[in-house]
Amino acid sequence: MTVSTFYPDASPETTSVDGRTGRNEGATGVAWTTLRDGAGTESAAAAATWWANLVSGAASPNWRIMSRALALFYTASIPDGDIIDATTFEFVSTVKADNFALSLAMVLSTPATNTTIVAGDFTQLGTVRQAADITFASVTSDSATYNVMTLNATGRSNISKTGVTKLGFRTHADLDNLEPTWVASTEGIVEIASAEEALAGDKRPKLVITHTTPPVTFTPRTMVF
Amino acid sequence: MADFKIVDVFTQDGQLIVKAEHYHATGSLWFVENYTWQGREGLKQKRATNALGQLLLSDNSVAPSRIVRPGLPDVLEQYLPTGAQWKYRPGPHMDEASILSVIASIHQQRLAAGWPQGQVDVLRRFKPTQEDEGGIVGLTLGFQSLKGRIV
Repeated sequence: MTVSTFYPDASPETTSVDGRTGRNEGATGVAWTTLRDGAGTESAAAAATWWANLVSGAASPNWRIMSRALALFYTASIPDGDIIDATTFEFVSTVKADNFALSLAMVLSTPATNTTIVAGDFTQLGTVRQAADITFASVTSDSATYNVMTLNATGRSNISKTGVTKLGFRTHADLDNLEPTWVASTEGIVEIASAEEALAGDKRPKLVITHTTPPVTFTPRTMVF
Repeated sequence: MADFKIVDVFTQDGQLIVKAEHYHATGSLWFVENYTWQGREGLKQKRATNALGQLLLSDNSVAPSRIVRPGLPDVLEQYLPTGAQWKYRPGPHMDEASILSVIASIHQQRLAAGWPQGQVDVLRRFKPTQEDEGGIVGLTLGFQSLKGRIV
């Protein structure tokens, strides 16, 4: 077994990136479907944190902001023949608010490029879970402790041994299209230290991959003289 | 009794390799594991902050802030103005805790899940890039002091 740890690039990115993309409809907000299914209006790839969040509008039953996040890892150094035995995505949270009983869900992402995040990437997050969700309630948000999401078999199969592993993060309400019970001007958020973090110690998000070199099978050959 | 001991710190194919012996609570050898980090980590630096945790620009001024999440109160985020440069701390972003925390975490995970006593795994050839080759020397030199560390 070998355990290899990977981090997204910080700005200026060369092979990977992490950050957020979102849709912001202003204080009044819009219908859930309009917010969730619309185009992105903002993005950030060089900030010290990124987040997945949901913010309700001032007018019932509207919603104001929805943000999704992307974290890419250059994992091509893993030997091609190695088996991926286990993988965890680990992150440090700096802020959280659990007003809508949300969970953080991990999916794949397909950003326009691997080295920046643009508003258009808001519609480039997948719909298949790569790990079990982690509830906002269970996230330790102290700017120091790592929270762990363990990738499932689907997630492990999507670890790239030839390029970039591209993960995305959405609230479960966003992913499963489950509009929460509306409350005016309220936010549900998990904010995560990015590759550009400036906290005490190294608190970057990381992908920790356990991989194994498969045994060599010897097949004896019959010599005929 | 110690959970693990760093027995070697070396490079292979542009990767930092930290070899650790993990022990049972009795002190007997449990398994040996190789932990790796890409050499490019030697080129990554952490942005510098002042005593208040505010990000600094290369001229030592505090980076300006802007609203990123309106609310009560508004949430502010520091940003890099056009034409400016961040100030960085010397040395790689990784620190000793970056390495020791992964090893400790694996120890606890395998303690909880059960783990057969393993043989030393043979490291297959990794696939480095020019970035990995460029950063590996500085990265490895910085962590040689971990050799022999017992946790």
